[in-house]
Amino acid sequence: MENSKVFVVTSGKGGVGKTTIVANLGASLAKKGYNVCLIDADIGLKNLDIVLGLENRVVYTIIDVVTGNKSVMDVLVKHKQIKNLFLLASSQIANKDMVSPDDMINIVSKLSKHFHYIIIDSPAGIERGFKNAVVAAQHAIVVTTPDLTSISDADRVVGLLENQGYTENNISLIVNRIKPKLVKKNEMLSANDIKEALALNLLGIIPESEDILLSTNEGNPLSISRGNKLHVVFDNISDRILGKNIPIEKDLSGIDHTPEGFFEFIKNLFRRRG
Amino acid sequence: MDDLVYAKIIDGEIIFYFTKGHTQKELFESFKKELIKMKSFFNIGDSFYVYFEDGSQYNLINNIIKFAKNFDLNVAGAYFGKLPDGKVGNKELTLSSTKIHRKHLRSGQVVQNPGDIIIFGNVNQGAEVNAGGSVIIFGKVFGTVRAGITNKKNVFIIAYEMESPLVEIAGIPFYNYEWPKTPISIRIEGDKALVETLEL
Repeated sequence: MENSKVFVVTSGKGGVGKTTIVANLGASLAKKGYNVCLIDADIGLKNLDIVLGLENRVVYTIIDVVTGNKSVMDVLVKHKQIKNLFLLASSQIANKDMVSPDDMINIVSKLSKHFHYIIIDSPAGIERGFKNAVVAAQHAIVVTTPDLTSISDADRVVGLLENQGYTENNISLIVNRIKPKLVKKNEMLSANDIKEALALNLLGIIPESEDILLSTNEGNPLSISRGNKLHVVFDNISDRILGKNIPIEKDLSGIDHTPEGFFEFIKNLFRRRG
Repeated sequence: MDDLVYAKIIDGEIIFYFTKGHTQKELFESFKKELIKMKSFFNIGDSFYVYFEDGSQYNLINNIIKFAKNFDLNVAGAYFGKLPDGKVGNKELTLSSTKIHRKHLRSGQVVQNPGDIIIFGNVNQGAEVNAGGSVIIFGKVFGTVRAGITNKKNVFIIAYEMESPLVEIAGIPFYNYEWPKTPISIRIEGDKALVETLEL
């Protein structure tokens, strides 16, 4: 297999949905038949295994690879349902200084012989962990929500990425948690406002939805979680990564703009149990 | 120029000129002010030269070196009395070339140049532009802009749209100024800085 394409998902600010986007994007690409490896670079505060529902299966972590205990291919955890989606988990007891940028480059270069796509989940912040996550990737995806705090942090992160050698051509933007209703009423920044402020290519718009919360709690990515409309958005984004030209407007078109009713929520709860 | 101490850039080297006819205390105070004003112009570890018109004031150098250390700057050398040929120069600096930046300036990024700076793109909040000469920005400005740091008076700032909290031109600051929503130019007229709207 030829060398893989390596993406890093980053934001600067915490809580904007990096990990969820990594999990769902990976699942969507894997569903389309590509071999995908997700790397959790948030060492010490790992979350990606939980979002994927793999927290009970993690035995070895990235630290075992760095210390030389195990080889990279031995520590990968396979997803329960999607057989070509793998996770390189991070350790909860280690800290970010135990992995160096060189280690990360080594790990990614070994993995890249086996996978079509590698997606690295970067930690919040701009310290060592950020450098580790960013150094090995070819393309950066910056995630922001429509808050000014998040946008200003994203701007700083893009600056740092440019210092690391990234250009506007290999940085793209995902706007998360847009509420189309508020945007229509001019009470929230629209994706286009954010695109203009940050001057980046827009890779996708993800509307605010409870489906995400449910699928995260369930430990199933949206593509295999039943009864949601949001997986269309991630399919669009993964199509764009594959090089297909899909208009950005399609991200919001499939979504019902009316908020989910109480009844619907209860129904979902039962569906989850059943 | 009635400053006791002023900075010039000659052949890419920064030289602080200590004029004669003043006490050492006056000179040192003036030097401190000048260096603090210019500190954003230096990178850590940079060095500069000093020149004393009155050669008998050489013992000031110790204090100068100590003070410069506070900013992680070094004194590379000193001249006394008569400057060597080629260092004399005109009173206005012989500026180095213009720097052209063809990208948006992101938060945390700094563009600096002893000469002029032209930017094609926005200057975002948290970014800094420090020029020894003039600054032209084809874009919106939310960050800090300093022009004429070396106390050059015939400098200007031109911006497509200014929304910056701090603009400094030849040491004259504009804090939280109400900028017009049009292209503007700022230039020095006498001792005052003049803000004008521009017709492009």
